[in-house]
Amino acid sequence: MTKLRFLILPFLTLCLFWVLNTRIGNVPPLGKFLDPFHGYLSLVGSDDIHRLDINDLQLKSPVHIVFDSLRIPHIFAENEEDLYFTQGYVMAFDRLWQMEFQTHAAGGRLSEIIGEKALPYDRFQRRIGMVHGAEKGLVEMKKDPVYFNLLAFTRGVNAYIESLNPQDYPLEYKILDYAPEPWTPLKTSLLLKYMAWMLTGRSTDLVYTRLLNDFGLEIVNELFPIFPKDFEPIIPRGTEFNFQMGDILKPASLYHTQADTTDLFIRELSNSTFLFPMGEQEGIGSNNWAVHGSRTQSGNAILANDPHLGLSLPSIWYAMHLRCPTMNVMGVTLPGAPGIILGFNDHISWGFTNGYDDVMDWYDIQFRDGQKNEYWYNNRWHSTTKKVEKIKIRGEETFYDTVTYTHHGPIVWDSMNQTLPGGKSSIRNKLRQTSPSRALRWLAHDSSNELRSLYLVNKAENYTDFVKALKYFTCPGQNIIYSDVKGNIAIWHAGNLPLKWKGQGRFIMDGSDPAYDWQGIIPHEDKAHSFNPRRGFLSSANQHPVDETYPYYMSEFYWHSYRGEQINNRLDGLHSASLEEVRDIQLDNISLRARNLLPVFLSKLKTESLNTWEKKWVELLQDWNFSYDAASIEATFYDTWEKSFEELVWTDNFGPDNYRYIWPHFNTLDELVRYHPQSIWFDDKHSSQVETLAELCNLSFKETAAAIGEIKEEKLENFQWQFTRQTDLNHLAKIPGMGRNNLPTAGAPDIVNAIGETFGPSWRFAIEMGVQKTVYGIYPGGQSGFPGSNYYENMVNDWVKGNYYQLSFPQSPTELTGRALIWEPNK
Amino acid sequence: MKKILLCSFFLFCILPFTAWWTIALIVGFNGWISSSKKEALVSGGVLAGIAWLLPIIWNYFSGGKLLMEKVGTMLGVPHPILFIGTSILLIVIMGMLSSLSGYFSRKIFNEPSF
Repeated sequence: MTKLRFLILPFLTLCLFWVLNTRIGNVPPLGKFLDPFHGYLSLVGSDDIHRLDINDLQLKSPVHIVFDSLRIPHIFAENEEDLYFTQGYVMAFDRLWQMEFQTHAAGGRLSEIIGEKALPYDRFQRRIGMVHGAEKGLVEMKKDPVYFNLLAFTRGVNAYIESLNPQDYPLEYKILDYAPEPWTPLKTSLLLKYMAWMLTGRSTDLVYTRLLNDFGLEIVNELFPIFPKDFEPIIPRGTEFNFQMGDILKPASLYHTQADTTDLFIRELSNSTFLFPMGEQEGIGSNNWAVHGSRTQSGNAILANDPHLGLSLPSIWYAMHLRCPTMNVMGVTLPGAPGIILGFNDHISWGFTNGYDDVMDWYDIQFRDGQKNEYWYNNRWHSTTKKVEKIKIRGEETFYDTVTYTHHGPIVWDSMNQTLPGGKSSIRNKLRQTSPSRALRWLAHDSSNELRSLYLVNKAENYTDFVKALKYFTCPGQNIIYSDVKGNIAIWHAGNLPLKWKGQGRFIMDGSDPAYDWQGIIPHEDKAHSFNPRRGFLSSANQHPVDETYPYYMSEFYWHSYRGEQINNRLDGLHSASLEEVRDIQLDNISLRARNLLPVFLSKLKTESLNTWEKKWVELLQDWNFSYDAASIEATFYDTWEKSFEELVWTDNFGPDNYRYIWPHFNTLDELVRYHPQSIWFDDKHSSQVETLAELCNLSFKETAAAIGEIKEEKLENFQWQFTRQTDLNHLAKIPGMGRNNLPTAGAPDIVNAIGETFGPSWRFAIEMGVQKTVYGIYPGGQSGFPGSNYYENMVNDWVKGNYYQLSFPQSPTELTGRALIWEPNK
Repeated sequence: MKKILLCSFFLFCILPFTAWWTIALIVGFNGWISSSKKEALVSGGVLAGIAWLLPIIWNYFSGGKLLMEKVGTMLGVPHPILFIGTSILLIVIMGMLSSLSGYFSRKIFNEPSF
C-alpha cells in the first residue's frame, strides 16, 4: 500500500508532462510553448533583417535588398526570375504563417489545424468549389509564360521554409502546434480565389426569393430597385455608349421556386448569413479617384485609392518595391501573390474598388433519383460528375464528402434523403439535415489568369498597355482607376460580367431551362469605362457603374452613391489641386445620409414635449456639420437615432435585419423620408392605429435619448464618436492578445472615411504622377507578421489619426540609407 | 549547493539541443541522488526554475518584452512580470514532482523493504 502511494507520484508527474505536452482546446502545449530554448521565446529577434544575410541561394545574378524606415523591402535584381524568387523569400520571411493560413482557409483545410470545430467551415469551402476554381485557374496559368514567375516565387518561399528549424517556425505555428508545408502554385491560385470569395462571395438570391414569394415582385422592385433614385454612377452621366447588346435567350415567364428558401444549411455550414460573408456592413466599401493634370497645381495627374476590407493583424497587405531591367513597380500585394496588386510603376499608377457585380447565382436542380447521377436540363437527362472531398481532421477520422457537379456548378445544398458519412458528433449530425438541391454558378469557377493581368499592369507603360492587361482580369470584378505621367486618367469596370437579361440572377433560377444560363460575357471593349472625361476627374465608391442608358444589364446589388457623391463634390471644388488636398479627401467624414435626413427628422420633432436635456441634444444637432469626426458627440446621437428610426420602419414587416429578410438599402429609406412622407411603410402593421413619419421620428428620438442618457457637461467627452463606436483589428486567427482593439476611429459606413467596427481602409494611397513621383501610403498594421516585432503594428496609431507616410521610390540601392543586403549567386 | 550548480551547468549545456521535457529527466536524476525528500523537493524546484528563469530574463532584456506581453495576454496573464512568474511556477512544480519521483523511485528500487 505504501509502495502504491509512492508510485502515484511518478504517475502524477507523467500526467503533468502529458498535459504540458498536449494542446488542449485553444491552449498550446504549454511545456513546448513556454520552453525558453525552443518555444515562443526562441523567436525573439527573429524579425531581424540581418537574418536575411545569406549567400547560398540559387540565383542567376546578384540581388540587392534595401529595407527602408518602414521596413518596406526594395528589391533590385538583374532579371525577373531572381526578382520573383527574392520576393517569395522576403515575403515568407515576414508573413509565412499568414500566407499559409489564408490558403488553408481558402482550400477548406482548417480542420487539419484546429480540429473538428472547423469542419463546417471547411466543408462549405469545398462545396462552393474553392479548390475546383483554383485548380482550373492553375491550368490556365500553366499555359502562360507568367507561370515561370510564379514558379520562381514558389521556389523563393520554399527556400525560406527549408531554411527553418522547428524552433524558428513563426509564433502561430507554435500556438496552434503544427508545421509549415511546402508552398505550391496551387496555393497562390487558392489565395486569388479567396480574394474572389471575399469580394464577390455575397448572394442576395435566397433572401430576394423569399421576399418575392412573400411580398411579390412589385414590392421587391419598389424597395430594392435596380437603379436607385438620384444616384451618381461611376461612369459620368452623359457618356455615350455606342454599342448594343445582341439578342439573348429569355424565359417566357419568371421562374418561382417552390422549394423552401431556407438558408439554414448555409448558416450552419458557414456560420455566416452568406449575404455578407466577411461580416461587412452596408456602405462599407472602397474609394478611388484620379484628377487629370489640367486640374492640378503641378500639371501632373493625381491618383488616390483606399480599398476598404476586413481589418486584421497581420495586415492583409504587404508593401514592396520590385525592380529589374524589365520592370520597376511598387505598391502593396497580398502575402502569397507574386508581383504588385495595387500601386504604380515609372509610367502609370492604378487602384481598385470592388465592382460588386452579381456573379454568383443559384439554380434549382431536379435529379432523376437519389443517386444524383443525372439531372433534368433542356428537356433531357444529363450526367453529373462527382468529386469526393477528403477533409482531414486533427485528432479525428477523415471526413469524406461527395460533391455533385452539374454544368452550372457544384450542388452546395444536399438534396433530400442524402445521408452524409460521419461519426457521432453533433456537427456531423447537423450536416445530415436535408434541404433542396441547389447548384451554384460562380464566376470564380471559370478558367482565369488574373496573374497575367496583374503582371501586364505592373509593366504597363501607357493607357493602351493598361487596357490590354485588363482583358485577362476575370474575377473579382473591380473598378480600376488609372493615371499616367502624361496627365491622363481613366477608369474601367474590369473583370468578366455575365451576359444576362434584365433582372436575371436576382432570384433562384430554374436549372433545367437554358434561358436561365449565363449567355456569354460582356465583350471587353463594351465594359463600362471612361478616359479623360470633360469634367477632369473620375472616381468610384462601389456604386452602380453606369446609368440607365448602358445597353447591358449589370446587377442590382451595388452600394448607394453617398460616398461617390461626396468625393465628386470635393473634387469638383478643386481647380488647381495639390496632392495633399486630393489625398485628404480620404479622411472626409461628412455623412450625406445625415445631411439628407437630419433636417427632416428635426422638423418633425414636437419640441414642446422634450425635457431640458433632450432639448440640449436638439440644439447640438441643429448646429452639427454632419461630420462623423472622432470627437463629435452629435455623431453618436444621430447615428443611434438613425438606427432606431430604421428599425421602427422595417422591423414590423421584415423582422430583425439579416434574419429572414434583409432590410432595403438605406437609400430607399432616405427616398421614402424625403419624397414619400405619406408612405405606408411608416405605419406599424401590428398596431391598430396608422403611424406617421412624424410619430416615428419622435418615438425614435425619445428612444435614443433614453438609451444615451442625460447630458452632463463634465461627461460630454464620453459621448464622443471615437469612444462610442470603436474599431478592432483582430488577429487573423482571432488569437487573443495578438490584435489591437478599441481603436478610437472617426468615420462610418456610407461616408468616404468608411470605417466600421472591423472594416475600414486597408490601404490609404495617393500619388502624384510626375517623372519624380510623390507617393503617400499607410495601412493599419506593419510589415512584419511576427507579433513580437516592432514592425507588427507600427503604422496603426498613425492610421487612426489619419496620418500618412511619404514612401521612397529609389532608382538604385544606394539612394536609400536603410539596411542593405546583397545576395550573391551560389557558384 | 555544489550538486545544484553542477546539475544547472549540465542543464544549460543540453537544454538548447534537446526537447523541453529533458529537464524532467535531469531533475528526476537529481531526486534520485538526493538524500532526503526535502532536499529532492527544494533542489528539483530550484534547478528547474533556474533553467528557465535565466534565459527568460535574458530574452526579456533582449527585446522580448513585447512578445511576452502579447503571449501573456493570450494566456490570460496580461502583465509580463506576472507572466514570467507563472511560467516559472509551472516549471518549478514540474521540477519538484520530477525530483520527488526520482527520489521515491530510488527508494523503491534500492530499498525493497521500503
